This record gives sequence, C-alpha cells and structure tokens, in this order.
Amino acid sequence: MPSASAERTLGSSRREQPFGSPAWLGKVLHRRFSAWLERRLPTVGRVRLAHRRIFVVPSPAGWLLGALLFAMLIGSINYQSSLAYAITFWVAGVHAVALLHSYRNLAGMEIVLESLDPGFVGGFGTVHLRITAAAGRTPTALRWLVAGQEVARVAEVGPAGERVSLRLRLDARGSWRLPWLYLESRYPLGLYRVWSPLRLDGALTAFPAPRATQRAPLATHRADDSTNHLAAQAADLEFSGLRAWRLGDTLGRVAWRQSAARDELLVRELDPPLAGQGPVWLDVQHCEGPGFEAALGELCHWVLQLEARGTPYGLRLPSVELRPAVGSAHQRAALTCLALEGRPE
Amino acid sequence: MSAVLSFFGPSPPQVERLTGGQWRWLAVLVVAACAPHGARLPMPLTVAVVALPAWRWWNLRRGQGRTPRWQQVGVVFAGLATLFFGYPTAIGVEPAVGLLVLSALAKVLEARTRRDGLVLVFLAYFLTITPFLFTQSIAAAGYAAGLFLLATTTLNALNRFDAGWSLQPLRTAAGLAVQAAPLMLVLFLLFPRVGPLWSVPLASPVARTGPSSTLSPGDIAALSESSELAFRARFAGGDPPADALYWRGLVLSEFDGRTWRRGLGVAASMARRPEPPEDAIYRYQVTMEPSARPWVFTLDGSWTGDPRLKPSGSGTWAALEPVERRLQLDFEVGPAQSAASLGPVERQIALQLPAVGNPEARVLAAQWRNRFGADSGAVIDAALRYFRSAPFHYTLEPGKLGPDSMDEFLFDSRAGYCGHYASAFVFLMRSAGIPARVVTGYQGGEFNAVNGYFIVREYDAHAWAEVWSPAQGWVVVDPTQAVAPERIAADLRSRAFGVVDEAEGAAASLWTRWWQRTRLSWDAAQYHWVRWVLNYDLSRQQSLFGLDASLKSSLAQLGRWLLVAVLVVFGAIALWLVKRAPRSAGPVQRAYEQALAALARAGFQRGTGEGPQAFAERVGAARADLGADFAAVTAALVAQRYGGGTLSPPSQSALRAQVRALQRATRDRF
Repeated sequence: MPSASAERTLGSSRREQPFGSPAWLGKVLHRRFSAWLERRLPTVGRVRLAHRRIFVVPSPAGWLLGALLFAMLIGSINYQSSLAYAITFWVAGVHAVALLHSYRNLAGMEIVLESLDPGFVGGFGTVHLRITAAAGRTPTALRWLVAGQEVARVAEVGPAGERVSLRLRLDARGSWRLPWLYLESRYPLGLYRVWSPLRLDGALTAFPAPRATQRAPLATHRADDSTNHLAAQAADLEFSGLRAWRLGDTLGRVAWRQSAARDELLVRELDPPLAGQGPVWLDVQHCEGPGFEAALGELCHWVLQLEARGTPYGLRLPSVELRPAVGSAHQRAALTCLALEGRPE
Repeated sequence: MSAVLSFFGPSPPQVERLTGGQWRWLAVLVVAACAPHGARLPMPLTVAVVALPAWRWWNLRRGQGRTPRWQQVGVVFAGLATLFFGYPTAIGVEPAVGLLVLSALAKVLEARTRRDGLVLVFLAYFLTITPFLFTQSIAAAGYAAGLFLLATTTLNALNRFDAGWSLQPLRTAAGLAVQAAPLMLVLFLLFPRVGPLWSVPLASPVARTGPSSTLSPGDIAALSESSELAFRARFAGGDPPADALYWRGLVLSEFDGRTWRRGLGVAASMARRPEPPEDAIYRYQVTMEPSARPWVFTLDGSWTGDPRLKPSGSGTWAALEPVERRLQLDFEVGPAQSAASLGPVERQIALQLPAVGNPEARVLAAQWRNRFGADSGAVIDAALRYFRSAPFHYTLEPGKLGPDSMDEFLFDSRAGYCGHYASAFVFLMRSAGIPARVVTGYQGGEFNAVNGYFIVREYDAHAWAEVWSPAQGWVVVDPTQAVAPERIAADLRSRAFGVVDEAEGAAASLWTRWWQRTRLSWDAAQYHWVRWVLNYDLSRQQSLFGLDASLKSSLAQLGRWLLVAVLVVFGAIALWLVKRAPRSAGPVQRAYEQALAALARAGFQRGTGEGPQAFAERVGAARADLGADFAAVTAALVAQRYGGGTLSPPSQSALRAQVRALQRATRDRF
C-alpha cells in the first residue's frame, strides 16, 4: 500500500484561513502541535503504551470532587469534627489513588494494527486493531476517539486480548494516512481522563464514490490494439433499447431505420456484455460526468458492475493503464488506481 | 484545530443513560445516605427518604424513564414546605441537612443520565459527614465508612460500560479504599488542626438530666434515672480517697422557701480566686460529654490553667461557653489548705433564710442549738441522727410538697431523694446558726478496671451539703448517706471500684461477670475512641510529635511534615501499583520464557517480528531433538494467548516436564 505524505491526513481541513484570524491561529497551533506530537510519538505499527505515550488530566468530575473535598474540609474545620476530617481525608486519598489506577488502566497495553479495510468516499474505512493487556491487568471501559468523535468502545480487555474495529468516515478520494487515534479511559472513578494518542503506520484508501450512469464508458478503437476495436466490441454488447441522440454518440450507433420513422435521431442503447463475454476497456475519456472526479466515480461504478457480472475489464486512466482481467485482486487494483489517480504519493 | 481540541479538551458531551445496574447502586446509596437523618427529619420527609427512590424504581421498571416535570416541581415544593413548617427556625444545622436530603431525593426523581448519577454520588459523599453534626459514636463512624465505600462503589459502577449488575464495583472500590487508607491516616495525623475559621450554627443539644442551676425538691414529683454518660475521669499520680469523689458542679446558697439558687454567693466567693497548688497530690483528666450547660464537675480543691474555663465561685469551675462538644480538661488537686476565715458577707449569705415559713423545722433547729450551744459538730450529729432514726426513706418519686416544703418533708412525708435531704439539712443548719450550703453535682462513679478510669453517669447526679467548720473550713456532710447508705457507701465500694461483695460475688453468675466485663471493655474502647480519635487536636499533635508550643511554628512544622509524608506515602503506593513489574502471566508464559532461555543457550534467538509458531518451526527444522518439546510449549502459549483458555493441572505438569527436557538437552550439548 502506498504511503501517503504527512500533509495528507484524514479529516484535515484544506480550506485556506485568512492570515491572523483565530481560525488561522488555530491552524498554525494545530500544525505546531501535530509536529510536536509527531516527534514525540513516532508512527508505529505496534505500540506498547508506556508513560511516554499516556497523558493524564483531571476530568470535570475530578475537579468537581476536588471542590467538594475543599467544602468538606472547611466543614470539618469549622465543626472541629475528627470523624468528618477522617472521611474527608479518605475521599481525598481515594481521589489520589484513582489517579494511579487511571494510569494503570492503560499502561502496558499493547496495540497492534491488524488490517485496514478501504471504503468508498462518503462511506467508511475500517481499522482493525488487536489490544492485549499487560499481564495480570484488565483494562476496563476504554473508548476510541478520532477527531473528538467516539468510534468504538471496549468494556473490558480479557486475558486473551480484544479485537476492535474503528470505522472512519472517508470524505475525499485518495490514500489517507491514518489519523491520530485516541485511546481514552476514565476508569475507575471517572475523576481523571487518561488517554494515549496513537499514530499507527498505515493508510486507508478511499475509492471514489460510485456514480451510476446509463452507459458504460467503454473505449473506442485504438490503433495499437487491434483486439479491442469497436466492431468486435459492439458485437459483444447487447441491444437493450433506444434513446435520443446525444453529443458524443458515434454515428455507428445511430438506429437509422427507427430514426427515419421519427423526427429525431435515435441511438441504440447497449448493455455491457454478460458473464463470460470478451474483455472491455473502461476509459476515462468516455465518461459522461461533468469533471474528472465525476468521471472517476463513473468508472468506479462500472468496475463494480463488470466485476459483479464477471466480464473482464481493463482500465485506462491518464497516468495508468490496467490490462483487462477479472477477480477481486484485479478489482482492488482497479479501485486503488481510481483512488490514487492524480493524487501525489 | 479539532485534533488539538480532542487532545486537551473534554471529549464531546454524550448523554449516557443510566443502566439498570447503575440504578440499583444509586437507589441503595441514596437511601443509605439519607437514612441516618431519618429520625431527625420532619415526618413526611422521613417517609420520602424511602418512598421516593422506591417510586422512581417502580416507574423505571415500568419503562417510564422520565418523571413528569409537574411531579418533580410538586415534590420539591412539598419538601420545602415540610422543612419550613417542620423547623422553628430556617437557619440552623437541622434545616440545612433537611435541604441536602431533599435535594438528593429531588435529584433521584430527575436522574436519567450518567452525569445525574455523578451528582448523586457527590451529594452522598457530602451527606456521609453530616451525621457527625449530631453524633460521633463508634457506630456512626462505622456507618459512615460503609457509606463512603458504597458511594465509591457506585462511582465505579457509573464508569463501567458493562450493562449488567455485578459485585465487581464493590471489590474495586474496596481495593481503592484500602489503598487510600495510608494516605487518610497520614492526613489525619498531620493535617494541622486549626480552630474554626468562622463561627457556625451548631446542632440543638438534646436536653439532659444533669444538674440544673437551681434546686427545688418540692416541685419535682419524680426524677428519672438515666444511664447516659456525663463524663469520664482518669487519675494520675495517686488515687483519690474514696470519700472524696464528690464532683462539685454548683454551689447553691440562696433559698427563697422553695428553691435553692446560686444567688449572691457567687459574687461574694468570686472575690477569693483559686490559686494553683504548690505541689499536686494527684492530677486527673475529665472528659466531659456535651451538656449544653457551662458547668464543669471537679473535686474539691481542684485547679486548672485551662483557658476555656473560669472559676465559678466557691471552688467550682465553669466553661466560658456552654459545653457543646466533648471537652478534655486537666485538673490538679493540692493538699487540703488550712481553713481561711469566713468573711462577714460570706457568713451572712451562708446563713440566709427567708423570714417566714417552715416553723416546725426552725423549732427543731432551735432545740438543738439550745442543747449543744456553739458545738456545731454536735448539732450536725444530731441532725444526721434524726435522719437515721426517724422513718425516712429514699425514693426517686417523692411526689410534690406543699408550701412549707421543709416541714412537710421532715415531719410528714419523709420520702425524698438527695435534693430533699440536702436542702432540709442545710435549712436545719442555717436555722441552728451554722453556715451551710447546698452543693450539686455527681457522686462516685463506676470504676472501669479495664482502663483505670471512672465512668460517671446521669444517675450518679447528687446533691449534698457543705457546712462551715471554723477548724476545717467547708466540710462535706451528706445527709442522704444517713438515710440510704447503700446509695452512697455501697455504691462507692462496688460500683466505684468494681469490688463485688463476697456474698454478692458468690451469687453473681458467670454470665453476670462476663456481662460486666464486656460492658467495661466496650466503655474502655469508647473512652479511647474519644481520647484518641474524637479529641485529637492541635495540642495532642503538639505532644505526640514534640512540636513547639507556639501556634505558628507548630503549624509550619506540621505543614512540612505533612507534605513530606504525603509524598512518601503516595510515592510508595505509586511504586507498588504502577512500577511493580507486571505479575507473571502465569505458568504458560513462565514456561515459554524458560524454554526461550534454554534455546538461547543452544544458539536460537527469536527474531524480531518472528511469530512464536514460525520460530518453533525454525527450531524444529534445525534441531529435531528440541523441536517436539518446544512445539508443545509453543502450542500451549498460542492456545492460551489466542484461545483464552486456562491450563488444567495435568497439562501444567506436562509443560514443566517439557521445559525441563529442553533445559537438559541444551545443557548436555555444552
């Protein structure tokens, strides 16, 4: 899988911010912060959570209990009650010990990136992780956050470890380096927020969103490829109906006889070939869509269609050409080409 | 910016509904936290403490997750009205506690989310310490500890994701509580115990049966005997003579025909300030229970430098403010001082009588004066003889007396308690021209042999007389003793010193003795509880840690020590908890590590990224003699790590045998 550059991170904003605005400042701070985090916690494929990776701050509940403890202490002093002192100090002791337990809940855990499932733009890509607890510990109540959104929960990591799947929304085509994944826990008492930012070494591929069209963007004759010329191909296609002539329809497809009976030109609509029929070429130049992205979506749709029908297909893009074939590996290769077309690596 | 926010800021607020398991803990917690106040709250609120959580529980079971708004508002207003009409004043400790209970109950009705649950737990933590406003008994402390554990349990349950109910949160909370105990102890011992920062309203004291500031025996039909604790006293440097155990509280000198009061005698005797004795024959410490009165009970001739006390005339002491908390007071008693003379004003006060009334008593006194003249000792003997010979009897229910109460008591009813005897005796003495006064307080006490201190209870309350003798000064005369010696003398021997009469001792069953012993041990425990826990304060810190006497430097010293001790203890807990090497993963992991060490001797190293299976295959390919055993160990490891199963004992011993075989094989080679 191609590795993406640091700039291309899932969910990063591409909008330009006016110089000096709060949003700009935020962006600058974010960039600085990311750079610092990057230096501190380099990208890895397997992580063992040690103190360097674990951050702890009191949660709002922790601050609230702190304020309550202060009130209890004032009460104990003013009423000169030894027993009230004792209970107050015991709650304070639990507050302090909870800090250690909060840290312990994450410490020593091992996280391995098992696999990555690509997805289509507008859908989800999935990160499959495996969590193993340090010996003798049972990490409890873990949450996975990405960009502030909870994406998964783990009630308890047993001695055999747990598998976790994080579904990440894909907003744009391309190969996206995995974003910072935050493993968070407030266990045991919710008084501290303990978390570990993880940058796992991997990239999620976002295929273009399929865009259904009536007509497959099949390649016309090419001088260097005699096997794929129009006549041979047209014969393989099934006649499925008539429609009004549009700009770009070749004269060879015009149904002259039917057109003569009407006042307009009609062209024959052709379905792609059925299973077992000869290979076809999908060509970006024959797409309907307005613009390049729409064309890729169209190609994506037809790759899925042809694969489902078992028709061998080739793919012709500005920068790459895949020879016709069929099968899941070929489909994956075709979709990946579509995802990466025109994207810097 | 989003990444920065998610790094520092809280994760987005999520409305997390309380699960059934969490509800169960919360409901129990709220009822348990409010229950100790049940008896003190106005009746409707007492009912609500159980009824509202139960109602909410019932509604939840029926699937009604939200209490209608009007019901919530109705409950709050009804509760506020109950508090308003249930208490005479709006300001005070009881209404404040009532408000706290009400807010917890209202929150139960409203609660739906995890956040509501948090608020309830924090309220419960606060409610845990509120019973200490009213009671500080060992039982109350035990209950509070349980409540604290329950609140921590609930807090843990609120932070779990598993939906079911289990006892796991209780185990976790107990672990946390045990680990927090050393920190609590350090803070308890070393936190500087400064005085109140500002004055606060105190709980209204419960009326007690102790001596009041007046004595009017004719007006009281019956006296109740309460076994409530009045104070404890521990003697150091010699036990007092048994007949000296008259704990003087108030000296009553003024009589209006019915009631004895302190009157002018106070002002007159205040002129003579007590002085510290040159050398104390014995010292003693009194631990007073709160009485809501300023009187302090001391032995004759006691002196103290305690700034909380002031001399209260005629050798008595009183607190500057009514005793609302337990007080620990140290006194010393010097040798009996030679009698000073009685001043003319004091003499006049000690002889004061109303102009008219009780003519028969006056006649009797005049007869004695005529017979014995100036011999006051003979007059006293005559009076005591009279009490002894006439058919007087001691009773706690004497009934009311008419206008000439002394006459009626001396010649007609002849039934009464110590107050009657003391006041009649003093009346007779004064009528005979001998200066005399009534003293109230406690007499005797139960000696706790377990710990060597006296327990003085309300039923030890007593009244007696003091008569002026030119040779000896004020002398104690106890007319009650003449009538009911068992009340005084017998009690002094048996109750006070724990000596049982031989005849009685034979009769006393094993059970009785066991019961007495248990009772005394329990009281001893309570005494130490009061002395070391409840009364632990700055002065005790100063003596325990040998601090400077000045407030400022002892606070600074305590602060430094506290900081160091907390850091050391916390560091120790942290090391034990976090840095401690993770517990060995069990027999399989250990066996695998031993096998790896053995293979390392044979020159096999598991490469980075090489899985256990692949390594086992590599070893098997290179050394067939090691391959089988190592494959078995690896299989066990893989089975445990990925299958999650545990090993049965027979396969454990097989595993050990395989490891030993590997170790032998690799050792033989070299």
